[in-house]
Amino acid sequence: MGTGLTERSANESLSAVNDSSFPVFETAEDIDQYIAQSDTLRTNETCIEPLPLLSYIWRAIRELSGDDAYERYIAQHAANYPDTTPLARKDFFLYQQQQKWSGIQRCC
Amino acid sequence: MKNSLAAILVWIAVALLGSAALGGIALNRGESINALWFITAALCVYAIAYRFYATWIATNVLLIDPTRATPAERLDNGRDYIPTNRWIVFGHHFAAIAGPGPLVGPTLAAQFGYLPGTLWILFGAVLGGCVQDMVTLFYSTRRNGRSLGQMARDELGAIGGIAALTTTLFIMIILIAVLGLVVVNAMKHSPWATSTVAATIPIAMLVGLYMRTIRPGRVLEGSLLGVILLLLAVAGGGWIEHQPGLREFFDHPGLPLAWVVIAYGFAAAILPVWLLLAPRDYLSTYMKLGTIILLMLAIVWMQPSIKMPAFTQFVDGTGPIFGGKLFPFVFITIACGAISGFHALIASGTTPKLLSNERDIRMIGFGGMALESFVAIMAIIAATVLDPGVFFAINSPAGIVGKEAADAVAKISSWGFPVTVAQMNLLAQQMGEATLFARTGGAPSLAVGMASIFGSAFGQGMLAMWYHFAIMFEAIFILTTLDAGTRVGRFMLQDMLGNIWKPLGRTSWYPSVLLSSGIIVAAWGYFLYIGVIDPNGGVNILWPLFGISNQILAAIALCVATGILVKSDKLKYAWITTLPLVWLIIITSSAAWEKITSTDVRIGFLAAANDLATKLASGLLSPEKAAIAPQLIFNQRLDAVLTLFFVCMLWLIVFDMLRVCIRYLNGKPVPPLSEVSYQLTGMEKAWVRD
Repeated sequence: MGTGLTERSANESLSAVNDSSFPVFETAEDIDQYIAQSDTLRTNETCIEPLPLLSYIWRAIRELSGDDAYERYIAQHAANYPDTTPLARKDFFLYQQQQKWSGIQRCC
Repeated sequence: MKNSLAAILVWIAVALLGSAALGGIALNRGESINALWFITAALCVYAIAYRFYATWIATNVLLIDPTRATPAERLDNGRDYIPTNRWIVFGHHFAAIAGPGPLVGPTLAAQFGYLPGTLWILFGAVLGGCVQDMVTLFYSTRRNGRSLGQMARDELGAIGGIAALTTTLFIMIILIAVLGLVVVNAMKHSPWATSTVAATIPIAMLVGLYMRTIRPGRVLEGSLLGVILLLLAVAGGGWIEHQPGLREFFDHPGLPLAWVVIAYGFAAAILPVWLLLAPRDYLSTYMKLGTIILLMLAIVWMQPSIKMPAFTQFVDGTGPIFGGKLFPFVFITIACGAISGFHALIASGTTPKLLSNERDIRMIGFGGMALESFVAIMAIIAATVLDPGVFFAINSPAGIVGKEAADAVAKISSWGFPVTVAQMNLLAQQMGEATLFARTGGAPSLAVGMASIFGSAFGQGMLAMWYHFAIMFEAIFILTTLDAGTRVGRFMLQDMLGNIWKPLGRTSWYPSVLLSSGIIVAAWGYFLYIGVIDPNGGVNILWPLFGISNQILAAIALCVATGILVKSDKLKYAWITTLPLVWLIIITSSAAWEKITSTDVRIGFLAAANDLATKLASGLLSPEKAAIAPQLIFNQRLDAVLTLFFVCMLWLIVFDMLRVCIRYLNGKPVPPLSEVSYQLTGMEKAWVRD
């Protein structure tokens, strides 16, 4: 965190989004910007529709590599803990790596 | 009706094709045999086992329940418990279980000929390894993703828990040492390999910085950058090789390289994970998956011929790479790829926390292991497409065949595997190496095998590049296992030390981090050091020790599973785990017995120690050998003690499991099943399923 992210701004941003459109926040500015743009974003949203093959593969690659981990975290967070502030992308990434390498992750 | 008839016909066809391929492999005694037979036999065996055996276990024994909510659903926190698409979980699980083991073991075991290794990989996997992985994954899922050690403690008692924990720690140490040795043997006196492997470290750090500060969390961008740099590093190594003045900087014998690996291991264990370990793992995972797919395509396309005979005379125990008869040593040498206890740690780690539905357990647990077994089959193909003479020249240590090239080829040719100095020199030159003699450990011969398969598929001009690509590819994920293993060892040690003095258990307290990392690195560093100075090649000592300990961990996992099966009133099905368990008990106990008591100096640890001690006392050794003899003698005795310790752990937990089972069957109190109670799944969202 430490980016001056306040609970209020995060809550507003999260109530503006629902299920499918996952915002990505680097900083508090991102969140403000997101709120400003949220209407346009929503009209462009097609995520929940059946995907064409290429985007399906691309999505699988992103998910498998962990490229979209933050977006999934934000979505999950918005759904389950709408009252609390999510971690910023950088903090989430650090936390996640620390967590991952605290256990047995690789075999012989 | 029509469909089921078609299905029956298809499965009959698969069964016939599989038996024909297996029969062809087993009965062929001609000059050579096409590698496609191996692929066909393997795919048919996996398909039949998956469709019938795994399905039967899932529906009749484990009673997998798709309506039951998984831990990922119940405890979903968006961090470690996350319901995930099954293909993604499969990818994660496979990337976690498939390490260098299935590549090295089969290559070493090829000294017995192609047949014993191939049959053990196929049947060991479908009857043992796949069952172990699947059952452990299932029981861990039913227990909120608890680890093997915790399950052993909950279901059997404190003894089981302690045995699982200590065995894991020891295996980790032996495993890291032997993998370090494989890397050192691949790098010694090879400026190309050494500089390429060295370059992977700053590349990983660069990627780490990119993902941490420049573009946080952009894993794909960072990895793409890293992969490009790695390929450039392979090419750059070739340039360094031809620069007098620069090449000497990377041209070292084994011992200094071992010290560098040890120092590196310590640094990696105390550096933050984002800087080195995590980015290196991304790179190694892509390299691993990419190379395995490439190798598979190249084998199918090129259909290389297997030149190794089905059996060699070394089934009698006189093999140059490691001593010991076919039984039990082929089963010890090939652990990963057939049955690997380590998988039980993964199957009771992250994977159960990602499963969105229990019905995916068959595909991820059983299927994941089948795929790893297939990787082992490809490794055995890559090793046996070489001329046997070349295979033995690369893999036989100097202590066995002699230091001089002429002595080595004379000795190997006298075994009936003709090879010439000119042939080896030409091969070394093609691969861009000064020499390929005595590079025990599996990595170089696998790299030569892969290079010749890739070379014939994609052009001969690139042989040296392919060879060093293969070396880099193996080194990068061996180093990942080394980093990750040291860290895990450190956490386990801190956990234990915390019982003695609280602050030592704090994973973020720096003095404790330094101390515990130092102890773990010193432990594996010791075995690596001895392995490098041992003129007979430390692989002969370390690999069997690793195999025995890994199989014993598998036996522990199967004990836990058997205990749970019996306590769940499924005694009549308990054979699915007891069958592989009994086999593991037989092979590990008899291998350990031989390693301790054999009078053959190449097999028995104590015999070797006594032999060396006698020679030392009577002044028969050359001064340089006499200087290291006391260390070697001590090490052989230590190895005997370690082996005894492993077997004691095994029998301890077997008796503990039997005690719990017998008490349960007699209606006496036992630790209750720790399964989490049923909760209906509320998750049928389309995106979670495929």
